[in-house]
Amino acid sequence: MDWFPLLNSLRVASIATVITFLLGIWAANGITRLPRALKGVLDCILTLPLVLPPTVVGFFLLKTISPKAALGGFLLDSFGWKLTMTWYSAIFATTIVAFPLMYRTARGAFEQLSPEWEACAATMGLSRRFIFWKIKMPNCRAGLLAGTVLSFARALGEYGATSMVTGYIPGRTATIATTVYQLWREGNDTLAYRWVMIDLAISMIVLIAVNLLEKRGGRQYAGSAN
Amino acid sequence: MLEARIKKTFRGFSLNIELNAGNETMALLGASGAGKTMTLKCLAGIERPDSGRIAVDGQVWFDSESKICLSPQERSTGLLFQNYALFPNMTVLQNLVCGLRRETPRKEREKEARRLLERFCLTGLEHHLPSQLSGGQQQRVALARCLARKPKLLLLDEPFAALDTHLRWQLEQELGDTLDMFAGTTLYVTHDREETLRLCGRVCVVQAGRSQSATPVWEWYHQPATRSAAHLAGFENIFSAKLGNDGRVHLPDVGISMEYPEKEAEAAAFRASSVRLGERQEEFAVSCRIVRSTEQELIVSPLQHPTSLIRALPDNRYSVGDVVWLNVPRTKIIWLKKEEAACLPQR
Repeated sequence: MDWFPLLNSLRVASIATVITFLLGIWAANGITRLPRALKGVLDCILTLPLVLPPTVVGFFLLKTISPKAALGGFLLDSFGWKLTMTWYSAIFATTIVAFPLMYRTARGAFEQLSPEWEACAATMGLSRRFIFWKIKMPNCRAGLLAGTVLSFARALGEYGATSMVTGYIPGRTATIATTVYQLWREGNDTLAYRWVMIDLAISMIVLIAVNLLEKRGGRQYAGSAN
Repeated sequence: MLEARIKKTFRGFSLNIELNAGNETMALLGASGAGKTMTLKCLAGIERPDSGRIAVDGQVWFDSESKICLSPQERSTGLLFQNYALFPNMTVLQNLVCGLRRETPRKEREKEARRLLERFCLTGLEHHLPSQLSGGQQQRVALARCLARKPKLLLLDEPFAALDTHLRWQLEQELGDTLDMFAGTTLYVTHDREETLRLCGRVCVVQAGRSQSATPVWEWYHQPATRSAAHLAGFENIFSAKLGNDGRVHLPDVGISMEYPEKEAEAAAFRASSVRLGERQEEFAVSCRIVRSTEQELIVSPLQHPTSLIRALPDNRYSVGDVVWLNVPRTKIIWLKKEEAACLPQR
């Protein structure tokens, strides 16, 4: 059995998760300081990939980074970067699709923090950076971890946008999701079932992890809420 | 020394505060929703006033005219919230170290934090998380953390609101001692009469976003100037007053009329303890029926005005239904002047 799809999926999902983790927290933290109207519009845009069909995301991506599109063509001509039909093309697709999960969970976690901590810390002369790293982040830890695991799960399961920007090239761009589809088309049920079982196992582990984290989040620093 | 003028409109509510306080403990007294907490936030720099000026010890923290607005970090305030806002991920010691100036080396700060622990009777709790402390201990940690930076302005927002009543008295004494030692200005936000009487020297009543002129505590307690001040001072009986054509003043809801005491009395207030009940008619007496009798008070209602209720001290000579004369000695009636109009947001 060729294990490439598993390794590729894990590789793509891991990199995409690191990117969504940073971008999601940055966006969630930054948006709280914006004026209300701008906040509403931006929040809509940032959440959009969650509700859009992944094929629409894939379509937009192709219209941006494929060699025929303006940006994609420019990058190919000037730097020789080909951004579609490679294994890392999937990173763009999965990052966009998984981003809203990280962003929204992180925002929820930040919003649950008592604004009084930040206010108090500021009067104590603590810098914004200190407040973010030493007060906000530690107190949001469980929520942020849960968001990260969810994003990872979503990135791992992404099919629609990924298949549009990477295609299916065995041994080069194949992921678990695209492999299962390909195997079904070929009528290779035995192998398809095997990949399905692997995917099920990974998903179960991820969901259990999320649940454990959420439970721990509730207990963390227990009693401080009153 | 604090001089502050703050104007701010938010969500259809407008705040118009004027405060002048020396190095004393001044109560900012008002019903909930009167804008007291917002005032503290403006002073601390967490909220920005629309206009006004804030200066402490001659140093300008905010001035809308010369466009000065120091950040909370640049001001020198100690802010104590109702729920203390201790950082739950840090131990008591770490919370205190956070409160100390970052310029001092870490070793020094830890030493100073341990001195604070000792001063606030927290020794032995340094490695506890806030969630492992009792309410009273949490308050002490929060207070120590506020004072760690030696602020010029101490802002206390209902420090006893989160505590059980039976814990309060002891902690009030401790807080009183701490405030006595504090050299700067303390603003004490509360709606509690007893705390004000025990801990504060002067009172500034805040009503519907507007501050009234500050008065010494005894004056507010015995001679409140406005209806809201009288309510907060615990006057049980407050009735509207009207000037009659005969040059006398009437309390239409009670049925008393008397010579006009001074100009512009909008209402009259008297305490339950000033009410005398008896069989004999005196100067300003009304015939009343007893409508309710409890261990704490007697509620009577004038025969002529059965919907008005007057509160008096309990009296076991009378029971519900009895008709008695109600007298209020003239010297015990406080005349209240018209409340400055609650300012509406300008549109």
